[in-house]
Amino acid sequence: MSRDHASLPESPLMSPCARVRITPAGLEIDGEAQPLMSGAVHYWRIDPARWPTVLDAIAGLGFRIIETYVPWSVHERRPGGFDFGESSPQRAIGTFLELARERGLLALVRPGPHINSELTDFGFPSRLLAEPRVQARTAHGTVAWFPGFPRPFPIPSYASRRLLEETRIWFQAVVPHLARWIYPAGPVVAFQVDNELSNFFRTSIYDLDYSDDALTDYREFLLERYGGLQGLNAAYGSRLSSSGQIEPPRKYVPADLLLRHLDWCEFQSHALLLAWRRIKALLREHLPADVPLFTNLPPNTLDFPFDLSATEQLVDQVGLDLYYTRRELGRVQQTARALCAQTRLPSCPEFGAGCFLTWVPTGPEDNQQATLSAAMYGVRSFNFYMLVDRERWYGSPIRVTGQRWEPHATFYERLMQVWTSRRLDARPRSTAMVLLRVRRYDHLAAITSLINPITPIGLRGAGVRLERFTRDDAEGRLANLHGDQLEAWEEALEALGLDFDLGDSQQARSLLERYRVLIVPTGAEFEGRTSEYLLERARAGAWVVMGPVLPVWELGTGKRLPTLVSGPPDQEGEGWQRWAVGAGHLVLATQPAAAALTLRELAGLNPGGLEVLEGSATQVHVTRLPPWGDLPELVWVMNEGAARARVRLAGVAAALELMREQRIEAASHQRLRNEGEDGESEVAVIQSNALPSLTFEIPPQTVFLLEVR
Amino acid sequence: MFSPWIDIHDVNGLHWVNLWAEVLRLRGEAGRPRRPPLFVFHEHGTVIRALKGQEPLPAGFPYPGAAGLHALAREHGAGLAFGVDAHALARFFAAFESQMRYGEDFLAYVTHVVRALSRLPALGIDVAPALQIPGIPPRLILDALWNAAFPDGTSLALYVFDEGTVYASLLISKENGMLTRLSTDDGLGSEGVRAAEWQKDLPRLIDEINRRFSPLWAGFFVERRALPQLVRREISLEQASEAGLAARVPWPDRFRALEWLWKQGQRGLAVSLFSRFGLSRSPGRTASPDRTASPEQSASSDGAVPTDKATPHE
Repeated sequence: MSRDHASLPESPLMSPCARVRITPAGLEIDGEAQPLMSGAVHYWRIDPARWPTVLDAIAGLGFRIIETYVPWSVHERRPGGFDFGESSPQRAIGTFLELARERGLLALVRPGPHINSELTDFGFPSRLLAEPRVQARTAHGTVAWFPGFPRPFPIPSYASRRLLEETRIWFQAVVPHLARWIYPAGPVVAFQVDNELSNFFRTSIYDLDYSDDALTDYREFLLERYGGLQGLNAAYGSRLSSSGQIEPPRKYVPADLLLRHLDWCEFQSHALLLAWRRIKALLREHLPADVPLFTNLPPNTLDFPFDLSATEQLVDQVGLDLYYTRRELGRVQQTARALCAQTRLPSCPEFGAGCFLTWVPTGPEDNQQATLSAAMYGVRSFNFYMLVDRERWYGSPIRVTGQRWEPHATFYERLMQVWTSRRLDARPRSTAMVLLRVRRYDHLAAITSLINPITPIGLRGAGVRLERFTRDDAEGRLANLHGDQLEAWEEALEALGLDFDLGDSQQARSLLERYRVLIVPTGAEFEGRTSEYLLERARAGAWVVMGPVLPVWELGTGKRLPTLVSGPPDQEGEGWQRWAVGAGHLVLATQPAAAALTLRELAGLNPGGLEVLEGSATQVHVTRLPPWGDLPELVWVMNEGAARARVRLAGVAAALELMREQRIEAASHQRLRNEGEDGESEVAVIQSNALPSLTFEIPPQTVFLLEVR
Repeated sequence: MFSPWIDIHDVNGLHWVNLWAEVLRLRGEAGRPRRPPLFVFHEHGTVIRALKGQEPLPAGFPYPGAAGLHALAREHGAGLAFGVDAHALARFFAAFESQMRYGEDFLAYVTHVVRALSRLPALGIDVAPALQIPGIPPRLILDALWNAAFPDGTSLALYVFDEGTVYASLLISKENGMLTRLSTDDGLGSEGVRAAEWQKDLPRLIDEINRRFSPLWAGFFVERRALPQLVRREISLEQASEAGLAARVPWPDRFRALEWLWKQGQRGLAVSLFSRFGLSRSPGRTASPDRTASPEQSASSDGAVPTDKATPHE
């Protein structure tokens, strides 16, 4: 394994003796590496007579792994009574898995309880959603609704004990049934825990969940945090005499104790993790401990209340689902950068292939360019959803009949060829730099939000800067400062052609160790533990960049933080100051653009060697994968802008664009071959005097994968 | 309106994407550039955040109320202006969510939202210029109009052609008051339209739709290049038909009646007719019983949603 893989930890949950393991490169089966590249197919939506043809078509594209939901509402015939093919062949999941096994395919299975999949009621039995004890409640006490098409439904509460009881009954039936096909007896190599767990995309903190069971969890959370009621009263200045008197905040007013609202924010993240933990425990009641588990977050959930890193402590793999068009390649890039920083195996458990009807219309070119953009920025595991078409979907590369839909199918076939032949699973993108979001500042944005309960997930998807819609007070201004700084740093680094990842201030530290430059927006109030961590990293040799103000107090408690630097800076320039700290450096940056330029020189950062001759420098990007064994260097180039770009790639004389199989050569090199009587000697003279470079055009919203020749 | 079990199948990805691209293109033909909106958030009479689009503006001044919003928007070169009390959006959500019943379809959800929109000022949200929220007739009347316009057991078809190919297509069928099926030309399998000669192929295509879906109630077939001219009314539908660029086959008299109503509505007559028959803007509670599919196996038909009145504007 390369040093990069060796430096990334594996899941601490996996047994070293397990036959199937999830590694930072994908799967390992009986010691053999297997790229975790899969395609979704829904057995219950396809005529069973066509299952063999469809599976053959999947294998024909070069996929070795399939993925399928196993929907509760499809298999439940009556409460506690399930049909796995006894009365309807379309429900015979076992037969389907057996057919997959016969073809040498492996399978990922997703038994919920939440499925979505554009099913009415998202895969829950309707009888269950109608029960008041299952329903989530808003801060106003009303039932919360998901505006599903064709029929809205009451959102179930993940805290509901009733829901968990029923989920146990479902799992008692489905998991042992599926377990018969667990590898090596069958193709099943991993199970997913729930699906896009997110309170059904309603993540505004004063929206959900105020149901009785959720409030019970909240009270237990606070009592544990403060060591009991006495500790809580001391922290809040309250005089509660029983836990039943603990009430959650339902809105924010400035006179409120900020700590109470910050704790409510922490509980939002805790509640999601608790839900995962509970559902996982129900799965494990019937699932051997060495069967890997994975889970997924919905699109646009890179930040609070979601915690990729903490979620990954519960399962063997966590990823983010992506459904973007080619106009949104920048968002794909951003998501991939975050996955690289915050997870062991950057993955997309659902990556759009085709689309659902209630989303932004997405065509084949959208799927294709988004796929390449994600791969460019380090995503190493894709589950193409849906590889095979079905009802309430459109645009997949394989029809329900098993026929290929061209030219879309050819793209996936070519992708799999390139992926395996060029070992893209084993060649991780690495970058020296990480830009950290500060979770506490995201808490402030959530607390002071003036657009609660409009869900942040939807707004982020529309490109809205959530912190703009906060109170114009100290907390809101800090949230805006955070957002402004993140944006300024991203622009500054892009303009200089410097690659970076996107981390989280409270993420697993083990995943941050590989970065030697850490950039984090800071105000005078900041996270205490993060401040200590960053100081340790600087002392250990890293470049730590903060600003525009060095932290002084801990946000929420007001405690004074340890001083980070003392005395005058060792070096300074316009917009930045640097102190030597132990073996490393701490930089205070008041102007990201100026600081980034200096940082490039001081920290020895190398841009990708791409010069933008025509087009926007902040919209044309390059990443490079060095040679790997006998395989030559690969260069990714992305133009996310709406106009063609003309670029020059240094150090490359000729390249093959792998997805289009088109050769690109330096024009000057070609021209010289045709001039003069002795073409060879003239070329040799020119080569000795000039560094090779390749100039070419790249269309708008397009990604090239170049193999250097 | 929508069956909870609506069968959406054989949706050609390109047709679907092209259909929406065409809608946007035509909208662009008819639309004009818009100015960013103004957002003014206030609490206890003081503006606590002001934005033009997403750009911050100075805050801390007295909220001018609905009457002053328009002037404020003009002052900042903004378009639509929203004056929002700090906790009003939560009240707005409660106002329409409290009306929902499990089993109601997506159209019902939309009507609850629209009715709540008509109460925005009472909920603490001012809009300038004021939103023209149409009065929503009771569901009984909506369903009656819907069933009259599109009878059960029939289909509708839309085809857009472009240089001998199908650019976009849509086929929908209706049963028991609800849309039960949605597809595209792909749903006809190998018997889909012969696009290069679609005008001559229409009779066969209609037969095929009748056979595989249900009898065609109305179909609109058009060349893509004719659409902008039709939208801009540079040519009439009759002229387009004569030129072989469009066809309405068949086109029931009820549609003609609806077309007439639409045109009158643009002259304000439809609004006044609704007013005359007492179908005003006041939302009230949902008067008609839920007639859409109830949740299967549900013990409580109303989903146990508590009766809830929106919190009065503070």
